[in-house]
Amino acid sequence: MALILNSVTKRFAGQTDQTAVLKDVSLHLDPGASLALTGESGSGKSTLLHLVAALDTFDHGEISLNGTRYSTLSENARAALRRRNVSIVFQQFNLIPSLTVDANIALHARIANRYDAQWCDQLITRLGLRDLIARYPENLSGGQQQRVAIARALAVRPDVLLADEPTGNLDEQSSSEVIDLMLDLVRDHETALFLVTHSSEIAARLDRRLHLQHGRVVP
Amino acid sequence: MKTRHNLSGGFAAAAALLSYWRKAPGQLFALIFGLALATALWSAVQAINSEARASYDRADGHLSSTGFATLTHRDRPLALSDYITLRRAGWAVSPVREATVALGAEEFPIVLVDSISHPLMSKTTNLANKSEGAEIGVRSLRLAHPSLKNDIQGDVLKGSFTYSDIVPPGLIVADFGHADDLGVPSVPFSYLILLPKQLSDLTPLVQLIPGIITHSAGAGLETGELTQSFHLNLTAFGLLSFVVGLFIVHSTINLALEQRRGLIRTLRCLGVPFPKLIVLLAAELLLFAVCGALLGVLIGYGIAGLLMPGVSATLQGLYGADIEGSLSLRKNWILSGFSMAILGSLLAGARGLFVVAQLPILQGPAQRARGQTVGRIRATGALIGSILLGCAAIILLLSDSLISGFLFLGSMMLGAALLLPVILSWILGRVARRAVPGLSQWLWADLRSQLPMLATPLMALMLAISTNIGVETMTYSFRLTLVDWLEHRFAADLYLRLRADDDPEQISAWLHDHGATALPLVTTVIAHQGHEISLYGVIDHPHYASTWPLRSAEPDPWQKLHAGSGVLINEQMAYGLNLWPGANLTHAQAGELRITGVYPDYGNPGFQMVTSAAQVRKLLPDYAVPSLTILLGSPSKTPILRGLSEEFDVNSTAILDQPALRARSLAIFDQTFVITAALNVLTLAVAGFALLTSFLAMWGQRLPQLAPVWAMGVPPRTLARYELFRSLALTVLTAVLALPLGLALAWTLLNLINVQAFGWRLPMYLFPLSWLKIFSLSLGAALLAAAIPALRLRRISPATLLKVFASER
Repeated sequence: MALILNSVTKRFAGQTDQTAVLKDVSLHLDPGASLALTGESGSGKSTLLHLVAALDTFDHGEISLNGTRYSTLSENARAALRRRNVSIVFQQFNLIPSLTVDANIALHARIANRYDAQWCDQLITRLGLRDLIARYPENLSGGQQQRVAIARALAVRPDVLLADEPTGNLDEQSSSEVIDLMLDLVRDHETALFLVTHSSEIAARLDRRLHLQHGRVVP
Repeated sequence: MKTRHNLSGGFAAAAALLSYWRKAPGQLFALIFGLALATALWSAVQAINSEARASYDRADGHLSSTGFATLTHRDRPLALSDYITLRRAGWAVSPVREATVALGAEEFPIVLVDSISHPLMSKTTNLANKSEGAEIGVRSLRLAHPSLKNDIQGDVLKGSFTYSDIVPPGLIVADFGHADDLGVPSVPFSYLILLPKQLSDLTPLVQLIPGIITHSAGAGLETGELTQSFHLNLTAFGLLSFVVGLFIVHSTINLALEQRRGLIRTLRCLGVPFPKLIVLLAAELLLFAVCGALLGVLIGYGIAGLLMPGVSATLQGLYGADIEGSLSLRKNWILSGFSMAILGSLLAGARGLFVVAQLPILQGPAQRARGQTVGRIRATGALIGSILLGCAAIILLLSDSLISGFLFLGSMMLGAALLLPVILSWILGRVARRAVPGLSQWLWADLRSQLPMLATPLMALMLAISTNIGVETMTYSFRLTLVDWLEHRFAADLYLRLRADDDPEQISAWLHDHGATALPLVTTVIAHQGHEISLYGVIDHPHYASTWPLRSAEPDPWQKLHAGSGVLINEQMAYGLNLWPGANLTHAQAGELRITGVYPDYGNPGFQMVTSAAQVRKLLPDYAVPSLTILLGSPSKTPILRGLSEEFDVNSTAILDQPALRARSLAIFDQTFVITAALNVLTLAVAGFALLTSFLAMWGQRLPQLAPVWAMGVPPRTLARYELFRSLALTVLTAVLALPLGLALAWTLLNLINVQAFGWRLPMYLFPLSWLKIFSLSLGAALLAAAIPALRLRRISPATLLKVFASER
């Protein structure tokens, strides 16, 4: 089973088919595989990520995950998909400032009723967060917050892990460490990784790379 | 741990939402305390009203109450046979005899009643049975005021009395069964009480006993109506105070939702269904509402408890009854407090929940939308405000009921409040444009930019100030009018209630011989258009023309009255039947009556008409002479009272001492002042608290605005002064705008609400000193509210300000 995008088109208000933010985007991503999406600012990378995360709707085409067609889903079903099948690591982390690190990591899994203390514990160890679990996000560095966000996203054991510029706020060394961790974790757990990045170096480390230009996938 | 791990998704989301408050305890305090304050003010007023009403019920059991119609005969005292005739015909009447009784060496006034049929005796018997050492049955009832305990010590019957202060001072009350023991003849009766509940289709009284006269209940000054007015005004104040409190709740709830946008968005991204989020937020609101209500009811109980002794003292003065100065927890006002808090919170939170419902899941568009939303909300507020003011104008023009009066009041107040941000923005914009370029211009522009965040507390402040101005203007006007009216309308020294067997002419002659003047009042009751009208006849004497206040009149109304060509009516009748000077009233018996004047008659719930005594005697033979107005002239009161007692067996209950009555009536208004003054301070404190919470909530957002100015060389001390200036400037502007609204509120209470509720219109007096006091209190509250953020700013470290630049990218 896999993530499949077939001729997906997305227009914002006032856009035509020619000026659509995404035009006929198609791709295929198997479990355990990783895909880097690159492109200029405004090329539609984040929009595509939001569509895959079922945060937004598209105008034409189809997205399916494990056979579930997005176009047929109600708002509640889309929420259920986000709960159980898709996790997203935001560029700005979006941690809950009023929850400690361990509560933040457990949150998504608890919402999905998939909380597994052992698994969370493993993630905390592997991501080097052991000493930080009682802290609040405001007391963490950018790299630490990013690792907490990754742990939260993986704690739910998603089918697809989406990451929007996950190293955008990190220095080179931290970026490399975070990418290594993500790749290790998704390979170990048969999770597909769909990563948006500006960095060619990071893109080169993933299984495949797609480039978006003016809303279209270009070779 | 296991339980924690098994938490369902809903609980996890709820825990995440609630965790916000751990990081914002100040906001949580503001929310619950704001709600509690709002509920407290409402509950305090309800508690006072509820306790007072319960006290009235108890006071109604007072034996001196005259809340019942009575019957006498024009020519003779009523005999036992008259009583039997009426009872056999189905009339529910109860006999009363007023006399004196010799106990020991002294004589005391006594009222003999029939314990079975007397309308108040069952309550009295219950009360008496609760008295210490009393073992009395209905038929053995024999009560005396405690002040008589020593006076009747020497009597052989002393042990058989129950002493209770439900009996008026100096009086003894006994069942007719004791008449012989006490040596008091039980007949003839002084009067019969006409009980309120009567069978239908009974033979008219005058057909059964020709010459019998009905005296309507409540003739004279009824303080009960004034007290009702007092309670209505208090309720209006309580409601307005509650609305002020709700503005805090609205402000805090929406602030909390605003600051949790990110959290809410993240939860949605994590798959929490949107309806579940709304339910969770509503449940959270409900939880806070219940906590706030609980705390509010307790605070309200405390406030009412502090104010209650004064209220009970007033009631004691009014009714002579012993009313506890303490409060009881009553179901009705507790429920009322809870309902208002919960409904109010849901109402206040509705907009916030609606905004959340519209919140896009993705951040980018949301941020764009937020700027548009602020503008849209302000425009919508202004539009709704204008519509409400329009509705108020239409209600004022087209409707004239009590409900429409309150609707007008609500529409006007809310409409004006909603327009406030737009008006303030316009004023500040103009000032900023004319300000000296540089720091001054920045200051005004900065002030304007903060309006969206401060709009709600400023609206609350405006409502608080205008409510205070309105209610103070109303109560001061009421008091001033009442004092003037009492001075003139009840200008005589004494009023003597006559019994059926009293001879008015004989008493008048005696008074004349002793240097006093007696003005007999003849009265009867007539029916007109389904209304009972008390008709009074006065003799031709300059006392009336010189003292009786008139609201509006044709020229020479008293001359026309004494000439039999005109009548005066009270304001209640004028409004009730829409009869004004120049109009004619046609009555089957009295004929064509021309209205020549309308007089204010505060405190009288019924319709009343005054004409000449000769006219009454001529046209309506079923009249009575119930009282004499006595002008003492040179003699002092004491010898006249003693003489009336010795010569005509007049006891103290028959004398109405107008100075005492005036004092009692004024006591109600003095109490109104005590309570409104306390509520004034509390309402302004609530508004000040709203400002404080907003200033504190804005703290994080203020720093990015202040840091660049600091970086340009303006020291924190100066910035702190600007913070104080900001608060004062906005308060002054708001207070100035609140003044006309407050006066409009006073006008509405005096000219619409009072007319519809009680049938009288009151002139409005302006009291600039009172406004000055309220403005000063408001400025004080605003300064206190700004003090904490200003102090914080004064002590802020450069590192904190530098963080603003460090986080900019």
